[in-house]
Amino acid sequence: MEKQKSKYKILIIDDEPQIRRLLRISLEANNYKVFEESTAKDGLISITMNYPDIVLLDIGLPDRDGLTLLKQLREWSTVPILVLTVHDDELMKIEALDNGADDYVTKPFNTGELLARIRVAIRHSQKIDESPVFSAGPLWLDMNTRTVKVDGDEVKLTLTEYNLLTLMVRNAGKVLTHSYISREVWGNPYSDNAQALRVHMAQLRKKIERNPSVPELLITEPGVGYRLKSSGEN
Amino acid sequence: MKGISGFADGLKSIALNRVSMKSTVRDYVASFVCIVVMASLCFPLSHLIGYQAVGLILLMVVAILALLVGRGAVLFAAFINFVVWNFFFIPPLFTFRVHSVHDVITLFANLVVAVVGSTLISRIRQSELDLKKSKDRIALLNSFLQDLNDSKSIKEVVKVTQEQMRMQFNAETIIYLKVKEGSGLAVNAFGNTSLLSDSGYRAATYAYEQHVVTGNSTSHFPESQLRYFPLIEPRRVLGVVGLSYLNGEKPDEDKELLLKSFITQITSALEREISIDLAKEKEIYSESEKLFQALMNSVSHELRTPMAIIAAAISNLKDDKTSRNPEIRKQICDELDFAARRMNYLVENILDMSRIESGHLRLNLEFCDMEDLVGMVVHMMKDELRHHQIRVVPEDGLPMIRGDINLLRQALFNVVHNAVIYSPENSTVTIGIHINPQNELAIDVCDQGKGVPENSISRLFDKFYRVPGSKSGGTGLGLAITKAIVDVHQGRIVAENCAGRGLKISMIFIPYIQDGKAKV
Repeated sequence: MEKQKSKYKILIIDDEPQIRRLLRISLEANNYKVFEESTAKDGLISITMNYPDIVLLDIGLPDRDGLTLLKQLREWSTVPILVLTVHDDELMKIEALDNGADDYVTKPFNTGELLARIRVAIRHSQKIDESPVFSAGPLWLDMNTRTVKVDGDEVKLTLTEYNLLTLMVRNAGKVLTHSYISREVWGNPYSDNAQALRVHMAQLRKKIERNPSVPELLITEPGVGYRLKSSGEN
Repeated sequence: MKGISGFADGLKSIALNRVSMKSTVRDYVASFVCIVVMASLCFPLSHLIGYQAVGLILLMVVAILALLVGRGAVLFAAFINFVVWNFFFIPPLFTFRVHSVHDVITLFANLVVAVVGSTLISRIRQSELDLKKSKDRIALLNSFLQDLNDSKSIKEVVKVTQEQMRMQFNAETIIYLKVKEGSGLAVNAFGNTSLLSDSGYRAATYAYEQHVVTGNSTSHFPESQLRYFPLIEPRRVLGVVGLSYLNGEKPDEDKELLLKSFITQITSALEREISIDLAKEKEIYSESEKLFQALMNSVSHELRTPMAIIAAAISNLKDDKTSRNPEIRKQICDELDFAARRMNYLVENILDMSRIESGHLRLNLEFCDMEDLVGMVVHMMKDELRHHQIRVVPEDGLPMIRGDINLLRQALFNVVHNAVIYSPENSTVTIGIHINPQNELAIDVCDQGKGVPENSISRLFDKFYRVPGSKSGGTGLGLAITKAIVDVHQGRIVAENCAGRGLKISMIFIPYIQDGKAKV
């Protein structure tokens, strides 16, 4: 948090005043500058006026579907967008991600999780942290020398596993959908790879997780995709 | 004698196969031919046996004809007999004159005997025919009644009615019933719905309201193609039967009588089914009332407890004395966190249940790695598992299954959640994943709690069922939801007490097989 002088600006678009209030308290306590809007229309205006560094967007807005707003926004803006959704709406999550959302947080969420997602999204948007060396928990990876170590011991990965891992590392902390991963690793997003992806993921876990049955690094986001825990997360 | 009685039986069977005693043209022709043939056979013999004997033979023929043909034809035969005998046999031959007084008397006696005898025989036959008809009608009614009694729903009653109407009356059937609540005829009818029409509905409504037969060849709505009969019960009218006679055939009097009896039977069968339906509805209603009550009880308890915790925690936080101590503040926050989780769990379960109940459960099928699933659930439950050891024992090379990962996660979550709640702190919960001898994929969750009384095991997956004497908290929904989710995945779920102690719950799924072998 060296950047405290220039506070990051966050825009909250949510129609629940209580949620906005609570978010404001915890975000301001963590040195963010907070704007809030309750409708999609006002949200769009606020984005053009305040240039936020990140937008927290509730999918269920009274005046316009959050997804529509997302699409509109993506036509001219690359501001990172974090979508707030309800627990069991996986298709909505995928749709939001496919339409340009950077990540999502599921209600009810805890503040620690939300702050971690915000940090990750800002980091990715500002291309900070582009170091070739990555480490999180027991995992250590040097992309220059293509070395992967777990608890200090070097492990051998197949090419696919290595590509998978580097893709996850480059997007550390961010959720990646199944189809996105398939597209990036195999070049096509079709479902033939759905099963293969899970098999490779399981094998990768066996190599880099301390306890592959209860993964700590490669987290499954059920129905959506995978997320690699980044070092910044608790 | 035997031959004669056999002959008589044969005649009887021919006679009784008649539908009525009305004579047809065929009867007249047959009578004429019989007399003429017999007369020409007798003609060469008349000088041997004498014309008197020929008269008796011809009389016999008339008597036999009386058994076989209609009444008019018999009278006709008697007349022909009179003429033929007179003309060809009584001297002087080939004239209608009769010389001897003796012959005149014989001739007229012959005619009278023929007429009286044939009339008597005809009468007997008529009453026999009537008897047979009513017997047939009773048999028909009986079999119809039997079928109606055997039918177990309104639809079946309609089906039986349709079949019988087609068989007995050559008619297609449509049945309008009164609406369940209020008065009036329901617009959607049972039976052959191709017969539905607006004008038909109006005619049926008229029949329903005025308790009269309407439609085809009646005084109301005669232009209608169908005829509508009201189904009248002593207390109310149940509905209307519409009949469309194929080929425009109209039933005769007998059929009308039969039809009336049919309609009476249909009415009482429908009345019975409607009452049964009503009773069933009431039962379902009271059952769901009970379920609702149980839900309300458990939900209000499950909501009140965390609410009380939250309220108490907040007042503690507001109090400087307690909130200043960071140790206590952390404890209070943990309690708040736990209460929030508990409420969230409750809401999730109620939502899941209502989705499952409403039948709107949409499966989002994908390949599911069971080991990943278990890992996810364990990860989700980190906080709940604080006071327990968890052991995951996956077999190597497990196949995947096709399923909805989020539903499966909820299913497994509920099972593990129960295992944690109902087993002592610091005990171990073991989750095993393996292929069973039937080549199915099984996830076993074993706890080290008290287990469950044997007589409760079969009810463990019932909605709102809670094992008697189990500790407070819990809605009795969790395992019911799990079972419903496992069911939609064509799997099964089994509970058993472990040999040592504790309960084992196994969820068993069919693995996804490709190319004849389990794909890993």
